[in-house]
Amino acid sequence: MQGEKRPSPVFVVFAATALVLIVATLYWAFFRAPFEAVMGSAQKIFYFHVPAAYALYLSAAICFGGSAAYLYRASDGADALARAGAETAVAFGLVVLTTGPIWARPIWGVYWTWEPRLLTSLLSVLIYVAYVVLRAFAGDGDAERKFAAALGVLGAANLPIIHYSVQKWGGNHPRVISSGGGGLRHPDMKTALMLGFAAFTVLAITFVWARLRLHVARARVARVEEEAAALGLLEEES
Amino acid sequence: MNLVATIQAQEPLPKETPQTAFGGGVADQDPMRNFGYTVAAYSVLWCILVAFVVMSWRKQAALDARIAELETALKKADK
Repeated sequence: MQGEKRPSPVFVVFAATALVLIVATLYWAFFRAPFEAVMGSAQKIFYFHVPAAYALYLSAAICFGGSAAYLYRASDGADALARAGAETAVAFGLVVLTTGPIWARPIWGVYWTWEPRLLTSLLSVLIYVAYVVLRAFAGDGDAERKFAAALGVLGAANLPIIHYSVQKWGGNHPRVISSGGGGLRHPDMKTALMLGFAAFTVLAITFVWARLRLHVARARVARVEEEAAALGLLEEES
Repeated sequence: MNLVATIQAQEPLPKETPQTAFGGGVADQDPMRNFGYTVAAYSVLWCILVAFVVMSWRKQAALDARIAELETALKKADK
């Protein structure tokens, strides 16, 4: 157990790569990419807002994978993966739901409007908040894990709805990537956004990895505690 | 009356307004306008991510402490 206290080399490499990519994105966003003509400096929020939305999708997809695996065959690893994905999805979801309205205030004139992409994004984040709250306060039994896994599977159904909501139902939300909404015309703008995607992809994987190890270790400790208590080794503490 | 005004204010903007067009290029007016919002967005963004890292760190530290307690209990039991 002592050896597990030291972070694994793979984790260190991922964390360092994420840090380097974040610094590169900041440099490209603020020192290389030009100011956008209409929005001014507020447009630079997009270099992390859009990658954060992508990281939300990625984390939610990981939660879906872990949840489906748990429902197929229950294991600590699958449950830990689903939980790690949901927690990371909440973190990136909060980034999306805070940076978006801050961008919208000077550009749209309001922090929030009930348009399709904003509404579906809010709904999705609330689903993962519900997952995290459920796991934090409802115990760690098999029934709770199965219920959470079902939530993790059903929560993923909203992801394609978020993505296609702008195309299907219109709304004000700009289409940053697709050519239909203009896209990013300057090459340095594209580079900054691509660096942002790379940075938050690696960061999301690093976060999921860290939380996965934490939950797997917790499950192991819980089992050791049960066994130790059964053998009467933990009588003094209880 | 206030409710009607609120609903009207929140009606979606028409498509393809200058506000929603995402044309890139070099700024032709003060590029630093809205900079306060940019600073606010970046501050909130890093606060959330750092809070996530700190929370994970603290949970890991608590787990490490629990593992150390269990190791001590096992060593005592061995003696």
